[in-house]
Amino acid sequence: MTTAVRFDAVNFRPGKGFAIEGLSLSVPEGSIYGFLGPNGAGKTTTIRLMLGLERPAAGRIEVLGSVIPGAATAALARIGYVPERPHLHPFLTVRQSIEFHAAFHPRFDHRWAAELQDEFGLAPNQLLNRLSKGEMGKLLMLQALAQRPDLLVLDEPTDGLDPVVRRDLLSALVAYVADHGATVFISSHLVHELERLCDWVGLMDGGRLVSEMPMAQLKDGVKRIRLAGPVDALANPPFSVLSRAGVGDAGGAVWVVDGWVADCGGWIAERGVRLEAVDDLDLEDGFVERLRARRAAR
Amino acid sequence: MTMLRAMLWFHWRSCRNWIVAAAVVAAGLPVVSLRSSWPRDPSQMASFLAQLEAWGVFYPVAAAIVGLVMAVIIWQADRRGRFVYAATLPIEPWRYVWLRFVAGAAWIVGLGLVLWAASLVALATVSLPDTLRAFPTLLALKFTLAAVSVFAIGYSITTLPASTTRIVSRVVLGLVVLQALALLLGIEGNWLAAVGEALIGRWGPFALLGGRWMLIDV
Repeated sequence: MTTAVRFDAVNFRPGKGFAIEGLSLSVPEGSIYGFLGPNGAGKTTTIRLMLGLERPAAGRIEVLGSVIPGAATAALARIGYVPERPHLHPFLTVRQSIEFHAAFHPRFDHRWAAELQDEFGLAPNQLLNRLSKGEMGKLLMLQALAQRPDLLVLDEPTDGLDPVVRRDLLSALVAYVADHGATVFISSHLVHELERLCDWVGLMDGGRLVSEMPMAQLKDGVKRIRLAGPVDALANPPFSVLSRAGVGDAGGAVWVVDGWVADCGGWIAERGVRLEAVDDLDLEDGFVERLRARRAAR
Repeated sequence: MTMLRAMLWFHWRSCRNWIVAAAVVAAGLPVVSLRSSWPRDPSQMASFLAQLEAWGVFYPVAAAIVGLVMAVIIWQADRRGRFVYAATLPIEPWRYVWLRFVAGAAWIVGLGLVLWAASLVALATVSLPDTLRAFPTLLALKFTLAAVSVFAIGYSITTLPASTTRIVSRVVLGLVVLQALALLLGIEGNWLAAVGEALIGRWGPFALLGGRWMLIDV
């Protein structure tokens, strides 16, 4: 598996308090990688490191084969970036902003930019400081896509946008990925949005990567199981228990477990415990349970 | 070339109010100075030159202001966006800094051309006696070079990291305070004047601001 982005044991401390420590992650080429985490988890800082906007204190970062920050310029020519906070110049019009952006990106597709402009309903002569949040989000996405990037780095691209705009943006993104096989690294705390979109997911909390795995594995591996009987007999299970709650006085329990496979049911039965139910968790519940388990373990 | 064109256009969009104001001054200065100094009586030619020399003070002042303001405002747009947009463009930082400089200097050259054209227009309205000569090209060239040199030095300072700029500003402020204290305490020595002279003296970085600025001279 080739990787579009690789972090190896990266350390970075942007100021007092918060720090990214020993961050290792790898984004498979051609994947849509959802980067999940609560506010302040270090998602934006990780993206800044990825783009060469910050210099790590230790570790190695490689993006599209270029070592960052040393060879950031070469990598940036192949990266479309949508930041969390709009960074375009407010005194330009939509058309001028696109033209200015195009001047620095040799692969910029003017025709497609014009098509997207129509599709998104962006008025070419509108000043950027008069754009709504949704329109600004569309313009940022337009500029990033029209670069024809091999990697799209999107930092909370739909945060605060209404559902219609959100759908427009994500549709354009999915269409581009389908046509060009680009890699997408998308950070968000909107878990449901990523659940539909991503095939890989990384969970970040407190500057550390909690877990990284294919979306299917994350969704299928985390279950809520209802047990009846002497649950104390279930020592050293072949799965990890993220949370436990007792049910009634008869020794029953509800556990949230990670790494669940079909064989686990037989293992439980062999120990005299009845498995009453195995329920799927959606990504948000799985995400919350993983964070809780990690924080409890700290 | 595409990038430079884009940068020139960008500067126009971000600084156009200032550029237009500077162009009005550059166009007005030779016309107003000449029209207001030109004698009605040819026998008053000697006082005409004195008056024109008095007006000449405004050229280096205008050149210094043009260069300095351009150096300050040129980074404003990037500062507002915390340099994120600039830093994520696929261009080496030094090249981006260079492009910004060249674009800023190009607008100053444009202002120099305005001054030159206005000087020619002003000169066309008078008939010079044989004893006097006009120097529109030299004046415009001197104005342009002086403004560009101030811009270049100001630009170097504003391009420094914010922390370094703060240190430089504090050192300058400290010198001013020390000088004021020295004056109050009656200590001899005017080192600020000495610094000023060193800056605009023959070998100083602002040497072009010194000397005579005459549209017409003997």
